[in-house]
Amino acid sequence: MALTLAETNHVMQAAVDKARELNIKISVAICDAGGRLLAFNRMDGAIWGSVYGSQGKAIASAAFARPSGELQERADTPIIRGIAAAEGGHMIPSQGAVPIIRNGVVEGACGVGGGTAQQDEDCARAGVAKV
Amino acid sequence: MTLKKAHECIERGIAKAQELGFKVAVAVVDDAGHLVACDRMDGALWVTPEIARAKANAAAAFQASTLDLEDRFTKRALFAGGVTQLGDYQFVFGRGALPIVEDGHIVGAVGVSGAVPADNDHAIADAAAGHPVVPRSH
Repeated sequence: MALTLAETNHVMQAAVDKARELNIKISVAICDAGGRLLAFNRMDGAIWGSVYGSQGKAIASAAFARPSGELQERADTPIIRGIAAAEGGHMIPSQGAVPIIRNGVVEGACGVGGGTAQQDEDCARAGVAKV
Repeated sequence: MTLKKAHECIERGIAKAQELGFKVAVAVVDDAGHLVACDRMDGALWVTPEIARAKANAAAAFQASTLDLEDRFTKRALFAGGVTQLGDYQFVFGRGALPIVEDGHIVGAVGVSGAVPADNDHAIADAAAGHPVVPRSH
């Protein structure tokens, strides 16, 4: 079952709540299994760079069906660079996004930007825990 | 532009889309054209958030509705074509986006995509933006 907008916004709310708990300002991007945007929120005061970071990390996470942080070490290898270029250059293989997997099937990903890489991932995980 | 204001726009837009029977994406950008919030309704095409954002970007950049821009740029196709290729700004000049106006100032824009023909996108965006009176920008 594909993610509904209602489910997506539950994930969104939990990620934003986590950011409030950590006292940081973030952007949250949630994409579908194909890496296409379902919902997006930028908290007041979040840097605008986070708009693009959160989306790029979510796309990378959906594409590889794993936390984007696991791609970081190999980000400069020909295969990761090649895939990112062939896809159109939207992916950011850095920590801060986790896939949304239900019954063993990738249904999307939640990407976060604006905090430290670890904080971003913590917020994304808090969101995805709601699915 | 605040996230709260963006959410209010999206809620009004989705309510209008439901009333008209369309599945759309609604995107809100700040006055610099960067995304603040976006929702894609269940069943809307995946490309709709991109088009909604690109329309909102145009409305923010030119401080005008894209209905107005469509009219202006149809007569200036060479210019419009050049503008769409500037950098990687991804402008779409089709109707369906309006500036968001607060106390006579433009604080951002809202774009809608998915309600064909695009007059419906415009009607939904107008409702989302709260039927703004757009100050003349030129």
